[in-house]
Amino acid sequence: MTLDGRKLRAAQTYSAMHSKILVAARELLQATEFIDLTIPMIAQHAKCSVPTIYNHFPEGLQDIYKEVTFFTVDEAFDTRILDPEERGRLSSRDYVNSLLEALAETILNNKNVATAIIAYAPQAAASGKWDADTLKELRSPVSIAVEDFGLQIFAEEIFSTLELIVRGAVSSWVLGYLTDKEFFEHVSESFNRAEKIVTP
Amino acid sequence: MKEPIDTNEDLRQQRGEERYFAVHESILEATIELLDSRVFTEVTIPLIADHADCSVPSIYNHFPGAVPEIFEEVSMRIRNEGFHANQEKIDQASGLQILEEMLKGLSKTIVSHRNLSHAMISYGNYAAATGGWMPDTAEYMEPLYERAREDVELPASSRELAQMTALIGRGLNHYWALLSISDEEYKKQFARSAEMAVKALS
Repeated sequence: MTLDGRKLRAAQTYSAMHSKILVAARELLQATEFIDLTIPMIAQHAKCSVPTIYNHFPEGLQDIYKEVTFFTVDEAFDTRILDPEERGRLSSRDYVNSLLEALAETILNNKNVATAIIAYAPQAAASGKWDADTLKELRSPVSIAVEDFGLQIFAEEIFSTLELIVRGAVSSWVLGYLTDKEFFEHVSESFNRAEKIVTP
Repeated sequence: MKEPIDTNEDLRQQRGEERYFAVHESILEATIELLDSRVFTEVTIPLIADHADCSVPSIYNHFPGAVPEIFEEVSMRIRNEGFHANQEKIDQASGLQILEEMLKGLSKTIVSHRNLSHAMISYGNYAAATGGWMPDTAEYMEPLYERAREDVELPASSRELAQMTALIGRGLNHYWALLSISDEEYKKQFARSAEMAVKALS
């Protein structure tokens, strides 16, 4: 029991430190361009040592950017997914659209995180270290909505087209080609538009 | 006595301009070669100078904005090459085929400069966040949609369609750069992005 208790406390401490590092990195990214962000800066902000950061994130900044993205996107979805009341009131299509609106709002509020990840991911991929499926939480609600509308056979195609639109919208917005309002519209309409694209 | 002096000055000026143009070209060529074999963060002014066989101050003379300015000019050059790669077919096409031919040429050019394209897909976002990047591809596509509109009915304005097409193309660039899709699949989907934009906005 004592051993288990010790293990449990250690796991809790590890998990708390992990989140603390991610929160520190995200806070720093609000005011710092990603290219200027360093591991010592994050360590100082998270009040831990540089080796601790590498213990949690062996690949350094690359791992941190990836997890900050998941952490931020999951946070956006959690507000809607965990609210059964809201979920109960909406049709499956409106529910997907509500998740997409939450995603768009979160991205709009975290521009530097979006820039960091969209600029960094291709570099990471070039060195074979990128396997992020950022929108995985959307896969199941999209499948349900597609099934409800009798288009089940196209579920995967609709999902990948939706992903394509969201990715393109983030890139276009970061590049300054879309206003905040246009970006919001592209992301929040991505399911409806993906469905139109895929439907013969 | 005055005329021969003028001619000499003209010749000197002409030689100066030719030399300037040659150095400018060699800097751009050197950068294209370097970006084809390295990630953009490793490409520095001294490295470009060494590769282009010129001095560091000479590079700053040609590109006062340093690396960002060089990368932007290199990217513009490759993109313009892509826009016009199928020019003959674009001129002869009608309706959405006009856009399809342009997109085929553009994606073929992007794939033929794989590493450089990957580097610029990544770098462009950083450059934009820190001061600006080249004009939107949509600006080039808008007049093509205007031409297509003469032959087919389109569901939205040329600007909206061009913006949507560029957005889908950018999404595909990311899929391709993240190695999720093959070159062939990328080119096939890229050529379809105008058709997809029309369906999305219908």
